[in-house]
Amino acid sequence: MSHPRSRLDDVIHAPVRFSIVAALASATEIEFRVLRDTVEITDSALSKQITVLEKAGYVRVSKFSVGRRTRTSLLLTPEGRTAFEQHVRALREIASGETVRIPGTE
Amino acid sequence: MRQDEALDALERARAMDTKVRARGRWYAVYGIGYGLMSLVVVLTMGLTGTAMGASAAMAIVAVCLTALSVYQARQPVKPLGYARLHAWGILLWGAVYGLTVVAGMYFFPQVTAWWVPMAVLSALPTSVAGYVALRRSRSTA
Repeated sequence: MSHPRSRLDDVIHAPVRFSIVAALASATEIEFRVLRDTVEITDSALSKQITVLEKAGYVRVSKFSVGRRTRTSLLLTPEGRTAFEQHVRALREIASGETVRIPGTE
Repeated sequence: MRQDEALDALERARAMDTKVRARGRWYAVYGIGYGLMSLVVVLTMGLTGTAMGASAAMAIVAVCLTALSVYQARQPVKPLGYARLHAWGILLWGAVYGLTVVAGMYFFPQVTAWWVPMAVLSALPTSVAGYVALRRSRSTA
């Protein structure tokens, strides 16, 4: 049995990206400015991380108009959601210590 | 990754989930607003029993639905599961509203004992959906 560490997703693993994906996983759609405030990072930092997640196919960005303003909305793709769920499962296993084996006990 | 780091990451995910869900309480306003609209419309339509009453009810629907749609479109967060909650609320409301109006027009025109309880009943589906959304937004689990 492989250690759950090997099932951690490299793209999601970075702390800021993990928080972004965790926030997006709780919603169908979140506006950029709200996600920025939720994760507590700057506009540029969020843009940078979103680009990485978009390239990985985990996040979809859409722009729409409300009155005179253009708003940016973000959502997790089905691939992103699956990757996040798998990542969280691996984290839970590591946290519970289920796969930690003591030598000589088998 | 160590066990404490994994626990820390899971705690961060939980905190994000709580923050995002808290932004979903707007749906309570939408659901209860929709319910109140239904209550007023059914009472106006049923108790007046005139063409003027029906026209007034339709005007109330047009104004309220426009306001509710604008309110919904302006919300920056659409929490997970709300689309299904909304669909159930509207589906049940449609069934109760249809029954109320059709049966009321044919069998109970201007009968207060029919229109008042049915107006209250028609307000329930979306109001309950709104209440469920409010509960979810307050939940920390």
